[in-house]
Amino acid sequence: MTAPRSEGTEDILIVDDNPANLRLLSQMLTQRGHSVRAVTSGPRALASAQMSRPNLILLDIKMPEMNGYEVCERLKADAQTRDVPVIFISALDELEDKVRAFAVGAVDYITKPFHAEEVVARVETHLALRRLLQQLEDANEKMTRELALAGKVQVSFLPGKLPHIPGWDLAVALKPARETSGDFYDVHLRADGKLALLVADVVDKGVGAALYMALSWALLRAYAAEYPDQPELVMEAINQRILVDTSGDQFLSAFYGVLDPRTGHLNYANAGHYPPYILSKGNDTTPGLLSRTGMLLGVLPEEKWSQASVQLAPGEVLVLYTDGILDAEDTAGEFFGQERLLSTLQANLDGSAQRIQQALLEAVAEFTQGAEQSDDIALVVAVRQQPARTSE
Amino acid sequence: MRKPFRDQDLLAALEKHLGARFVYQEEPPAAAPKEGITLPDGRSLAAALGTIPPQWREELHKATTLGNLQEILAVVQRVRERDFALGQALQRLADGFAHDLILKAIEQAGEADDRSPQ
Repeated sequence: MTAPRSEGTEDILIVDDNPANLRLLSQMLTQRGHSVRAVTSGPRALASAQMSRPNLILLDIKMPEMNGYEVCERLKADAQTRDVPVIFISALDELEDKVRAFAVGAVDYITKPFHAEEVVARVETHLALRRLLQQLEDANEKMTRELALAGKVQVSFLPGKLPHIPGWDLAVALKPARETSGDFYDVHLRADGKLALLVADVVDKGVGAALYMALSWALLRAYAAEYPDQPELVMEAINQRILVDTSGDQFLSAFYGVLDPRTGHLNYANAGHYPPYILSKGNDTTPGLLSRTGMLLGVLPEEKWSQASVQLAPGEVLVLYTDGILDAEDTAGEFFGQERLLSTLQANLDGSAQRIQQALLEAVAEFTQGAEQSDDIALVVAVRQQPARTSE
Repeated sequence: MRKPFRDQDLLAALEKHLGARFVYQEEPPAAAPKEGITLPDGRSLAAALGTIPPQWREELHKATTLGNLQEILAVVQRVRERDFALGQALQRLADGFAHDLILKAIEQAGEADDRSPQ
């Protein structure tokens, strides 16, 4: 078996209190094209590694002043040298010595007397592993940066500032489970004074869902302008377009409604989305549900949606949400669910839209107790305020 | 324990397995006298290093701290052309990996520089 080929000059630090060993190891590794440093003690090894981080360290164990175990522990405790692979090279060949070496962070252990070919083979193997790990870390860092940028671009699609509408109080939230989101919302005051409201959820998460979200958001804005008071036709047009333009293996649920703030009248279409709630402040009546008026978008090309309408009275609260709230899991695997959603909303109905939204997100966070967020969360709360009472 | 072994490894194994205790007598210091290394012409290593440009001492200090023999020898070569005895002494120390002695002498030369009148 031959040693893996070195990809170039690597910087190797050899630590041994025996100058003869240092000479031999230095010569072997220099012949392989590496840049070699050699020191005879633990303190000198630490000073050398701190001055310039080597790519690999060959470390003797039995040395005066400071033994190799302590040197390795100190290297692993220092952020600058933590990731440098350490190979112990020692005459100690008992199992407990080797176990201790790996326990303090060594990647390998070579017993003396060593064979030159073995040392070279192990050194080259660990240098190759280190290079691969570095490449992986670099690629991961690059991907994380790009995802963060994609997340920023996504956020820029969302309305930056909510419209101020007399008699109405609005709040929105988006909490992606990862860097990007498959959920989105839109709250858009049209030129005719009506308010377009949307919450949608791509049935997936991650980068694919984020790209699908961007396409769906753009289509919705375009078709909402084309069919201003016909949400069902907006759904139909989006459905046909995404089936033509994509491979058809992703779907989304969406609730899209047009609210007349002066009358509280809401026309909507619900494409397979969890029915939004209408709740009344100071009233224990059963919450209203804005049921589905058709199936998910992106499934069947000839599908139709119907339109429905509802009246929001003063004191009523409209809550649009995505399943990231219902499916939030605690550490025992239990879901937040509809009951907790409703009870949290009802307990906070007397607050502002912002307060209701915050209370719901806080309840979810408290419930999950730090468990990793499993799905994106989008939330829109619209409160129709009671008219101010005039004194008689 | 495999051959060749070092004395201290053998003694440590005997201590461990036989419960033996060894009493050691310290050897008198040999190579490094209190006053440091002395060159054949009677100068101390530190004093001789004080005569070379500070930039060279700095380079030698860095190369020695790194343990980079090639870089050490590159500086030593320049020193040898200017001061043969000093160059030879440094070469011997570098070949024997006596980095502590070189670093100590450089630091002493630096301290002497600091004390000398401006």
